[in-house]
Amino acid sequence: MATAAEMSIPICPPGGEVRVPIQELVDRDLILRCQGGDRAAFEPIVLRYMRRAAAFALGWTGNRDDALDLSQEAFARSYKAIRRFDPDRPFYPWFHRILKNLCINHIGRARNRHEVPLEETYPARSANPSPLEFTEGEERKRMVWEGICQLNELEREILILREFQDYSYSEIARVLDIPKGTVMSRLHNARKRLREKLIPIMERQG
Amino acid sequence: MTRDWNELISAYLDDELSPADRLEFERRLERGEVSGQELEEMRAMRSLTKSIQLDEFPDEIWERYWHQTYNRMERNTGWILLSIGTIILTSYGAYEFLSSLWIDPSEPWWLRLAVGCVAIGLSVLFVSVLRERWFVRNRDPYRGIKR
Repeated sequence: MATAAEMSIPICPPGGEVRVPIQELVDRDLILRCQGGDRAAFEPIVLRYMRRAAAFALGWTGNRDDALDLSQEAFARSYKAIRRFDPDRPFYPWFHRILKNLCINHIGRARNRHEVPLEETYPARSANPSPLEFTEGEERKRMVWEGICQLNELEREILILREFQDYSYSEIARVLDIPKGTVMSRLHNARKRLREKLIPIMERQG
Repeated sequence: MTRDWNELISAYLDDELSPADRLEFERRLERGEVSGQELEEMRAMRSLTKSIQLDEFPDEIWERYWHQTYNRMERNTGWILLSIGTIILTSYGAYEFLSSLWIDPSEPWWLRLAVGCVAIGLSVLFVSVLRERWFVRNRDPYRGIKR
């Protein structure tokens, strides 16, 4: 079977037929091909969004293996449901909801199985680690992560998108399918809640 | 509706306000209508979270990511076929077993009655569940998303 990298499809502009590499097609065209039964057309979509999806899942679960597992499962499920998806709508917000629900279910199952609390596992590292501040830096990031894990789903989601994935407010609004004004207030409230949980840390830093 | 400018503190720090809103925010800050203390607390908190970054995935992860995803997609199809086959074979086996008990005149009447009750009860349950699923599916706005 030819991979997506080797495939191209013919399009017919006025000047004559042109073959376009499949990975350059927009989401809508790829989804239409998937809906027609072309499984290889899903590969460019996966390649396009896999880093973003895995990063979000990592921010949620705190575990790299779980993040990869959940993001791949989200892609598999979205492909399974692709025939019911309206190709005129943006793909990623719809996919993001599938991924987020998988992450939420995963956390719920982990807690029910009394596995190691997520607050004790974290994927984060300090941006500029200094050997002299190593111990304090580790403690600080552990507490920040612990605070994030205590937030509700909406607060946690928006903080991950903004703080860890550096999404702009417009991008967050598109992914979550909410107005930009809602992004502003929701993010502000999420930070306020996180601050309440981090007050001991901030007082120690002066 | 009165706008709560304190809720825009984060947007101000993230440089996400429009030029007009930014100007208005700074004016209100000077007049004390926006809490300066909250602004500084939020600035410190934001600096703290910005100092934390997620670990990166190694490059080789992305090289095999599509193949692993594709395998999952194939497995889903495999499970569906396996489930269908198992249901058909199990149903056939149950039908053969129950019908052999039902039509055998040497079996006691209460055993044949029990077989009849099991068959009718399962049929009723099956139809009931099917009807409920059909009803919910047609009215679920998020049926493309599983939780």
